[in-house]
Amino acid sequence: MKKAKYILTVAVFVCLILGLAVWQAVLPDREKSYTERRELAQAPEITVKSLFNREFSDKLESYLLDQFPMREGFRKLNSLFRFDVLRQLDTNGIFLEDGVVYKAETVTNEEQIRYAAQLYNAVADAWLSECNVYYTVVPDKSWFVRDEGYPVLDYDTLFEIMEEDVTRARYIDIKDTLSIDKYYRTDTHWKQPDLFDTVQKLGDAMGVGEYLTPRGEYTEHTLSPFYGVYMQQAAVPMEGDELVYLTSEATDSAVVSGPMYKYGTVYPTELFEGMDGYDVFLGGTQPIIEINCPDAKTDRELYIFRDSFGSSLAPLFTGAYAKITVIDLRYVTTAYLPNYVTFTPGSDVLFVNSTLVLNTAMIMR
Amino acid sequence: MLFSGATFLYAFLPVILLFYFIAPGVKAKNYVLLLGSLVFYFFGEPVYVLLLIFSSLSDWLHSIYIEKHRGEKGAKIALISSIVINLGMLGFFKYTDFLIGTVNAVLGTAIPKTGVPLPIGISFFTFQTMSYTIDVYRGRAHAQKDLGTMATFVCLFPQLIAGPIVRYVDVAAELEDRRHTLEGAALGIRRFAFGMGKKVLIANVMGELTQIFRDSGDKSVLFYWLYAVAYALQIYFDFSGYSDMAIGLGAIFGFKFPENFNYPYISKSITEFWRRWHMTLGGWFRDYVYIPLGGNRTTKWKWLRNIAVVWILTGLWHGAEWNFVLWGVLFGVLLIVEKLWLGKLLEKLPGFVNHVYVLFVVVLSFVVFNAAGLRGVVSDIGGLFGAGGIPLVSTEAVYYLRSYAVAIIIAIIGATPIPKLLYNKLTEAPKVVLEPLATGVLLVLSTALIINGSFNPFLYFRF
Repeated sequence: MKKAKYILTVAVFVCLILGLAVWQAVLPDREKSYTERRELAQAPEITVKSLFNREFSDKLESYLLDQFPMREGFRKLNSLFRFDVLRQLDTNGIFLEDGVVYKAETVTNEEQIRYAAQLYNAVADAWLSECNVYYTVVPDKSWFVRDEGYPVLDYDTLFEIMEEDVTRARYIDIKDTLSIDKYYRTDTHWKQPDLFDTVQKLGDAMGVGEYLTPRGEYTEHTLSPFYGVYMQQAAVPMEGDELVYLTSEATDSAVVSGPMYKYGTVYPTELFEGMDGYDVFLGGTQPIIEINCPDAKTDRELYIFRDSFGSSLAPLFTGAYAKITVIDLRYVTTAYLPNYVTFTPGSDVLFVNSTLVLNTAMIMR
Repeated sequence: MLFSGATFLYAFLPVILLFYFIAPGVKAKNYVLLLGSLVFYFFGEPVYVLLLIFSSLSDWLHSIYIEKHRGEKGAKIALISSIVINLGMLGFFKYTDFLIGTVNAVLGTAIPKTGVPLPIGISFFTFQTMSYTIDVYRGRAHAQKDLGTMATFVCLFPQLIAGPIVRYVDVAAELEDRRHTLEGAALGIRRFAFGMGKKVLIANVMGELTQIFRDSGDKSVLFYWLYAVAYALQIYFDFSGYSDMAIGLGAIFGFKFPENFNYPYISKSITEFWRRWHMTLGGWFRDYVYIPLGGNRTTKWKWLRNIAVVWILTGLWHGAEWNFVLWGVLFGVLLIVEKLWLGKLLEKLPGFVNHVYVLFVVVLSFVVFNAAGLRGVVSDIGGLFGAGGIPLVSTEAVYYLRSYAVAIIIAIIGATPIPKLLYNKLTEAPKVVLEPLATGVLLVLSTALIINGSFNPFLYFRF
């Protein structure tokens, strides 16, 4: 009986170690991981230098881990082990509450938040003295479970700093227009069809509330499954979301352009199958985009300084503004703004960033 | 190269196993092991592999000279030369900057540090080579005539960089002739898989918690204690897991390496703890420092001196920082106190009290061990007792206690003989399936956590 046990033990070991090694060797290398939204390490080049400065050994480890057979299955197994066996409340900093995926944020970077406030002031002082300047803060999903004992940002401190330090823009508080069901379960972002209260509040504050396209004049379009960034980071086995975007006459007729924007339309749906499905909203990461809206009910202009939350928000203003310029300060340095944008006096300006970006604001330049 | 890395598990290990078992005869197998070991070390320390070769060559030459001139003055000179070279290497690479830093701090000088990186595992392989030469001098071992075999002993990758400290006499016969059996391979595989599980599934998870504590801006007394317990568990499962993997790999290759841990956290005294923790290091200091100094067969003051010397050296062996010296001194003092009077008192107390005493001391000692210098010791130990006005409880501490509670309980139970005792009660029939299944599950689960890119250092690499 013992002999059978020994044979089986050796067989299991050999099959696993040798089998996976051979499988890895013959498996074609993949370039990208769509679930992790990153490029995968490729086979490192062997040179005398790379061998002796340990670059080769470090890169080889990354390569083998990235190109491992059944990598996604192993990542899911890791999550199952942590959630179901160790009963951990999070894995890779991602936690679940009532079927919604959240990201744990343990450090509130007051310095970074102050930097964001000063950046808003500096931009307003430099170019927006003749504009109507507003800002709003998008609470990330964890704001809705801030009293449930999870490690989340110190939101009181964050909002206090912004309100005290931003002196050149008027604050529009949108927190009361939002709830957790207005965000995707698996992703960090909010849902565009649930933003009407938010857009109305912003529009009213900026004086264009009456010109916004009413809810009933929009058509819903669904793309699915949408596997959000949080779900993919944690490799949590769960159902995807349905991503819904809204079109109207104003969005259909809008012409979109930008130094790096090659899609022409508000919703480049071909990007849904790419690294990030949310890129269907204004193409994802873009430094500057200009949206010309021939069907707008005013000739006013709007400048939105935004992060990715602004991508789904901006199209809902196409009925009210003749021109919307969308700027992401993470991808264009403020010093170069005049090279690309001329701020028209009397225009509206809205800074829209999420609490997560404010907490890491030094990525804005 | 880490045992718990993809390069080792799914590239290096399959290849070396293949070549090893194809190679005919022990001599050829030794050369496969030697070449593989040099590649293994080269991956982590490309330049310092020369140091390893030099160390092998130096002790090989010294030992041959010693044997040839046994009983003569030259043998003693050769022994001293060998020890000076080994300690010189260790001193230069490990303690030079520590010494410079101390001199600068005391005298206010600004002598620049060398910045020379520490070769991985130097504390282990210099101790192994020293013990070899000393044993040859003492006549307990014959000098190895074949340089390849000697180098195989020094460089043997399973125990090269984090122990256990294998003495030449432990494996001398196996280096010349060893049997490879199905039983040996299976038991080695089982030991390796369990070691991997201890390292990846427990130590790394505890390591994440200690890192979360370090990064947190929401410290509290509860969080400090959570950290202290997590670190004590991490270091045990990390080091004993590595030792298990080393012993398991040794068994696959036909070697019987000495045990290094024997459930230290069930000890009832600090004296017992050190009989169960890092046993090969304790044995080394006993045989090559404590006893040569006179051990306990001398005057009381010399005996106390001998203990003090051993424990200061033990502290320094673990790291070139004053907190390691303090850690060693702490144990030295406790061992003296136990031997003088506390030991007798402990015998009269209920076992439960003894366990609490040992665990309290050990958990605190590892906080000292893992602190960033002496300032870190003051800060971390102070934190455990609420110094600095930190709150008793914080939101993060409660969250992470809830999040890691099951892992901590599993780790605590795993640090006792309970799982083994329960398993031993089973009859042989279910084990036929259970053992291979457990081996497979542990390897697959460990692979899953490794691929997820979790926290994966080996703590004892720095020693």
